Amino acid sequence: MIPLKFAILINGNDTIDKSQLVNDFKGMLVERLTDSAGFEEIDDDPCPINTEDEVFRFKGVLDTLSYMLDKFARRAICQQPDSPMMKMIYQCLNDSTVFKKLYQEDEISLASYKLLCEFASFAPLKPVNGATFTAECAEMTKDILACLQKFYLDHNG
Amino acid sequence: MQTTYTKAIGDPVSTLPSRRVLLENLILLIQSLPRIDPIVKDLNALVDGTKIDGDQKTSVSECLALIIRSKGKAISSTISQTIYKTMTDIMSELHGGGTNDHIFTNCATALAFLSAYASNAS
Repeated sequence: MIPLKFAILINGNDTIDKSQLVNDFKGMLVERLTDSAGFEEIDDDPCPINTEDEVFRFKGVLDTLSYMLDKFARRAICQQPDSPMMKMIYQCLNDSTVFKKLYQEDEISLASYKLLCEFASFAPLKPVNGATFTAECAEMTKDILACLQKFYLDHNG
Repeated sequence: MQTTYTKAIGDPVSTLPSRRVLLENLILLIQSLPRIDPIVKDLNALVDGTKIDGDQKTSVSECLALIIRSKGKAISSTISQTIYKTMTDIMSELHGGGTNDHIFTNCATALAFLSAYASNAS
């Protein structure tokens, strides 16, 4: 449901008032990120990773978000880096405090570290006019980099 | 070019790198085409059919979604309705349980992008 709802917000139809949709989406996304971002150390409701199924399944909300943003929010035809929807997504990630909570951990599993690295590599971190990140994007990027710096030696190679 | 690209992206032996190039080329190509119905019709048929496997359907459905986002206004109402049916069938898992999450995401996104032109389709 997250990709469907987000895509409605970025589908380019600005003739309808989407403010209520945006508010609902923000509430849902922060809640889902808090419950099941995909980090077993901090999720309120961690789901077991199904390794038996041969069909690909996302491993948590962050995994879903990284794919969705990489494919449908990276190109200029979809979203500009300083668009309100990109700011909203990054603000939701900041509000959920997933990266801040992860940073508080003494150690994280390899699966969590992989998920962190995948999100960092897939999320479209684009500076506005080639100069600076938006405040929301900058905060999120800083938190991700802090986690990477803290845990990379535990999972080197 | 459009025939070559759509045929190549739907080739069962196509590789991921070749499909990435074809996807980018198709997105560029449609900018200069007045009618994109034949392309989206072919892509929709590939997503709907059994000619290609899951990984290939992932690329094709992503391409379809991006084309709709980029130039959905140029799609006729008949083709829009066909795409709508295909996407909703996939999301309802009428295609069986073998649909991966990438395809679900792409189809959901295509549907949402198509909804921007819902008044044209009705």
